[in-house]
Amino acid sequence: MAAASQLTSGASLLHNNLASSSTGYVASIHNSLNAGQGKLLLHALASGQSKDGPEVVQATSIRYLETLHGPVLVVTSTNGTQVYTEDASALIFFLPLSDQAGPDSIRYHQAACFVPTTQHMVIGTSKGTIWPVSAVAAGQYVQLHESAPSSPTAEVSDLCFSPIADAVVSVHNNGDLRLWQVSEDAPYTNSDVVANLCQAPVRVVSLGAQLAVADGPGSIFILDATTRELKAEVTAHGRWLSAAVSREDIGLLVTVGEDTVLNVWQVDPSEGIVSLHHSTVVADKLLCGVALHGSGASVVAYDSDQLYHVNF
Amino acid sequence: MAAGALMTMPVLIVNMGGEMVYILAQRLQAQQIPSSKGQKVLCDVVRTMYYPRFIEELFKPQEIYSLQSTRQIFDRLAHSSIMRLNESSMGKLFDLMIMGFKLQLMSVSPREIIDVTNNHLEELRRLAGDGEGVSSLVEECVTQVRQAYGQMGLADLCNMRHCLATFVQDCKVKVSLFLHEGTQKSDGAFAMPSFGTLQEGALQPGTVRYFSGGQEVRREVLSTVTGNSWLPATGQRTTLGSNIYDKERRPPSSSASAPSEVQASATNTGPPAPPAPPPSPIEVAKTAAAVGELNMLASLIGGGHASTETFKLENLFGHDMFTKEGPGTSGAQVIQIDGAAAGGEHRGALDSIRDELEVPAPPPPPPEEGDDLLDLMDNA
Repeated sequence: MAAASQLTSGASLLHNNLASSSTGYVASIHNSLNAGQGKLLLHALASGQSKDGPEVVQATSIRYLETLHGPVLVVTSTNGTQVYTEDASALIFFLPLSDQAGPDSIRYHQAACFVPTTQHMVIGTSKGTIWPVSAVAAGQYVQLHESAPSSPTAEVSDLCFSPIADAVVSVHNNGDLRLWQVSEDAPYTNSDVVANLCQAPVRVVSLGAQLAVADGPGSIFILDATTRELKAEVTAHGRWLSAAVSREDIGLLVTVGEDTVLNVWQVDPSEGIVSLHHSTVVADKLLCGVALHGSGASVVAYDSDQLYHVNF
Repeated sequence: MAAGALMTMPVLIVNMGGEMVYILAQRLQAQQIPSSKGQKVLCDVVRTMYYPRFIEELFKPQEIYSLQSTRQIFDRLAHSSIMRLNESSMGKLFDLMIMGFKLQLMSVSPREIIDVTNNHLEELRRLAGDGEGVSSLVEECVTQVRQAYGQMGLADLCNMRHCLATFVQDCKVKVSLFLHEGTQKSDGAFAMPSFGTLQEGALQPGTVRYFSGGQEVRREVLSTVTGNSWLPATGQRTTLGSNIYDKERRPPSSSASAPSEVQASATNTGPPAPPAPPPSPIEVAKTAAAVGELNMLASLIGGGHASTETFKLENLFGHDMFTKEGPGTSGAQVIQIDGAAAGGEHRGALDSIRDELEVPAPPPPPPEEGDDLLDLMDNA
């Protein structure tokens, strides 16, 4: 079993339920059906201190984005999107939902990524749209134009920015992968669609000339970021693949699953050749979040208030 | 949270309700309640749970209830028969139901939750028999499950599972059965295995397939830490959701929490169900006023089948069914549910329990302010 720190409560069963900042904070979500009991869980890796973060209502994703003026914590939920300071001590921006749900659906925001070239924060929605937000200066965020997909699709499940493709890439609950051309002051254009790439995408990340899509049933799909041609499929886990995170500069992709395992995959940045860098059982739990730090990764699991540390 | 998040209630109620009936059946037998009365209890509870208008409302898209509201629904269900449970027994019954469902939820893939649900339904049909049309009521629910979840996408099923996991996440009651099997640890958390059976069509973990022009051109297997511990799918659906409290019918390994392969739920639910019997005039009158409203769900539960003959179980689990843990543990209570409580030393107490007939039903607890659902339940 891996070494562990104590969080203030247990992590909820959500995809990618752990985020880390460049300066050593990690954050996770504890949802609750009881009003006032959902909250963020914060931990400072350097000091080992854990604390409760702000209250949340049915949060759907958590992520640190590295803006030009430092890391910010982005939490999406059924209320919209909250952007906090790194330690979650102050709310610096709120993007509400754009409309109300019908009786048989729920509206929410899901996932976020950062576009360095334009300094836009981009947020996904349950309508399959994306929302760019200008973040050119600290604390001065401006909501831009909600951008619609080129054809009907399902909820956004994750987003990333691909420097090679110079585009935002979204994956959707129906397995679609979509490319969005970035625009300074107009809605983004959904320029390409790879339909039904997978079954239930959990994460999309950029890895040099490749895109990697982690799919819930346990596979990773490696695509050419320029042509979107499938180059490799990795069967990564014996059970549900619940979270993934990458270090693009060195071609590392780390995945965790409900099979209790953390795998570290090395993906050649140009050819997409896959090798296994590290593989270990973290804890006899349903792992549901992974975040990278200097010497390895931290992991959270459902039904546990432990923050596990794995060095590799 | 897609449509799946609004379709949690049928899965929650059917699976927890199934666990409730299993536990009641085991305890009624262990406490030597006359079989005719025991069967009537089970039949009444199942018939109330699968009353057509209740099922109709249950399957309408809605957000998941709180733990407290769900507990009150099951309070009503448990008391829809001639049996009466005291507060302590009801609380422990609910804890057992929750923990049984939590283990199932954690042990299966999103699509297998529907297999677990169907397993509960099949077992209930057997347990309750076909008295007073119960079988056809359950069959109607099987049809509803097939219609609601048969075509649901994997991401929606996953969202539903996440919502259900939030519902049970803070429940860590220790259960002797699970502790002895090693599926539960001394802190109340469940232990998940690093081995098991793969989903249908899944390859060994570590397998990498390379493609060119859409065609597979090369394959290799990288050695992940547990890659060899996963067996190919066998074509059999999970046994989770069957009756683990029935020693004679217990699955070979109820603790085999590893998932088995997936079969489309539409292929697992048998032939089309016969139409449910029409509700009685009394039932129609009771439900007509609130048709179309969400809180009909609870009012329908309240519309149970009244009986003048009731019996009261002072302690459903016997006097020593709840024991403190030994030294070195947290000291929290452990629920023992293994059928061993009907020993001779308890006969006197049980005899007196059996003699407690004709006890009037206790008044329902006052509804929580602002909870329309439960208000209506009390008014029904």
